[in-house]
Amino acid sequence: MRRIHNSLDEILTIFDENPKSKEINNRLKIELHSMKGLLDAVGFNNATETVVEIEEMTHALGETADPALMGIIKGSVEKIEEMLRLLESKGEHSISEIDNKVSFESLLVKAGKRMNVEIEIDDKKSMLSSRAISIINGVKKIAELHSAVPSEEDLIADAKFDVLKLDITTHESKDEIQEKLEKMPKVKSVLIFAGGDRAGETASEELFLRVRLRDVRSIGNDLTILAGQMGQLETHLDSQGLEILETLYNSIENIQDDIGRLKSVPFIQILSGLPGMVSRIAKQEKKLVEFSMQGRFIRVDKLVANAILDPITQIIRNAVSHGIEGRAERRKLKKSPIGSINLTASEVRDKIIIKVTDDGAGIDPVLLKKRAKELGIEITSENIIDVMFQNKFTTHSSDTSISGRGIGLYTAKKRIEDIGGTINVSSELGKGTVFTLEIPNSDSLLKSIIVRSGNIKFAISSFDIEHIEVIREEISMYHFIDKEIPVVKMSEVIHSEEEREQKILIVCRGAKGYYALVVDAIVDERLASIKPLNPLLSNLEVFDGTLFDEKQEPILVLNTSAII
Amino acid sequence: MAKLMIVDDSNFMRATVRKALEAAGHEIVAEADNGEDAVALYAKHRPECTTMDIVMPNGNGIEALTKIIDFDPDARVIIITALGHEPMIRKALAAGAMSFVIKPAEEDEILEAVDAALMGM
Repeated sequence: MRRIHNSLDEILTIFDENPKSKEINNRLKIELHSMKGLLDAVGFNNATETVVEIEEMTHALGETADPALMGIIKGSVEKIEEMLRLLESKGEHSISEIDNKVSFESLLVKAGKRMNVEIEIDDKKSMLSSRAISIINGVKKIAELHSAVPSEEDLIADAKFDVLKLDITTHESKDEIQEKLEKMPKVKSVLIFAGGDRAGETASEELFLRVRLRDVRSIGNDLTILAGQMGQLETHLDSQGLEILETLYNSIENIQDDIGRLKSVPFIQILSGLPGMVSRIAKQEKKLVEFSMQGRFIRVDKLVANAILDPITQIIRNAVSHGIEGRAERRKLKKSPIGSINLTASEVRDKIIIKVTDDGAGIDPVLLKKRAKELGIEITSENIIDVMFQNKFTTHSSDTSISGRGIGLYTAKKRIEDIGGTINVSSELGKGTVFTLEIPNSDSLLKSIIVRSGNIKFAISSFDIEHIEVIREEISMYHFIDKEIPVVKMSEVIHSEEEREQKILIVCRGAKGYYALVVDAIVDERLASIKPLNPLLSNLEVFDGTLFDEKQEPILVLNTSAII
Repeated sequence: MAKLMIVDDSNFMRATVRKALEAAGHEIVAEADNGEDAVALYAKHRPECTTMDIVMPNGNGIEALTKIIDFDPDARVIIITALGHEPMIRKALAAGAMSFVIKPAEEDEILEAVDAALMGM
């Protein structure tokens, strides 16, 4: 049984590293067959029946592993661990007792009903957060808990709240859940909605619709274009019309928020496998590692989420394998025997900042320099540690089967940069290392106009443009709606040559209000993804983004707030 | 009705809890006034639910709770403790306690917690 447990664990590790490996399903079939035989021989009848079903599922699948099945296998590993523990507990439990106790059947319980539960707690002794933790522990016995607000972490930190909100999936009926929750100590009221229902509506079966991400983005882009076109109406409307237009803008914004939610996932969805991975690698390396996460519920664009999972996984693998010292080593260094790795995610405007911090050995710059020399790699950055991100760099003379070669960090950096992000590392020898990822959280396509001032082309996002018109004479002030606004010549801002021809006046929204920008010509209109400006160009205050024209040449995007 | 165990170093508290539970028709199969005895009696009698004080001599409630849960992961333990011990309550919940009651506890508070625990919540 121990051998089967270890083998299934190994299969899960292979799945972690290479989900598309064809080895996985082949090995699973063999191990499940062995497991079925062994359980049957020992007398675990209930467990055997379930393993037969899992085995049939494996045979029904194609060549590559199915994530849902791997979730069941992971659960099976935990069940086997439980069985072994009970078997080894000095014969206190009979085989049939263990068979009944360790329910493999619960692994196959899949989609139940999704419910949102709101619980009011009435604890006059002000133990709300502890009471909420107790309720959450009870709920976990009858349902799968997806999320809690406040979260368990926040409750442990004694968060204050009015209502405990839980997002669960359960096989019990709404009435059964309601009855059980209402009987819990200090529960004042329980409201249950089917997942997605608004308050007051009857709970119903939740329906899901599978859509292409591309189609969702297309709807978002169409709305962006619509908003831009609506802007052209402004000068043709009276004050009542402008009020109606404002209402329409608000509606579009709300729809775009809804679309944003469709395109995005809670961060925890992509992180859910990490604690298990850390635990497995730490066990294999005979290390004690505590892994914590903060910011698990910020929402991340799906494409961004897909792109950053592998880099984060690589960084955390490295932290466990190469960062955290072994127990004996840590004792010698008078560190806690339990190493710690923390992942924190936070949102800053339209960026996600992810920090992975460990209290391990840190990175030795002397060792890095030496190794770089051995591999013939030139150190090009002032920060020696950056050599770690170079292709084929590794400080380890042999590939550890657990974390792989240095190519992991090179690929990780490339993946992050491909989506417009940055990755940096800082370290203190003996104390630990911090990896910081900054990722733009939006891949929105925006309409922009490409304009020219002298021989310099740049772009202005349609969101920054209020009005455009041709002017034939030089003016210093412009009448817009009911005000006189200043006029700024772009040629003076970017020191381009000024052309003596009719000009284009563009009314923009600045930091302090509207102003009019004068350029020489409108060259083009583009619907393109605007990426944040390369940090090397951060001194160019009047520009804050880049897009690419049809020839894939970069064009700087004007930061209209930086002009006035 | 259910077979229960009461653990508290206070005779008075044990008597209060016993009275409440017996009045509801439950059977008290064991009582202990310290953590070490609590663990031994649990293994012997396998009560369906246990009420446990946290602060006790000779093995506190958290240690006893941890050992009981280790022995029987499905053990239903309700912590009874005084106000001001919230960090310990959270520790106990993290260690596997099902819920808690704050002293001074009304009889119906104790019964409510025990009933919920017997329901599996």
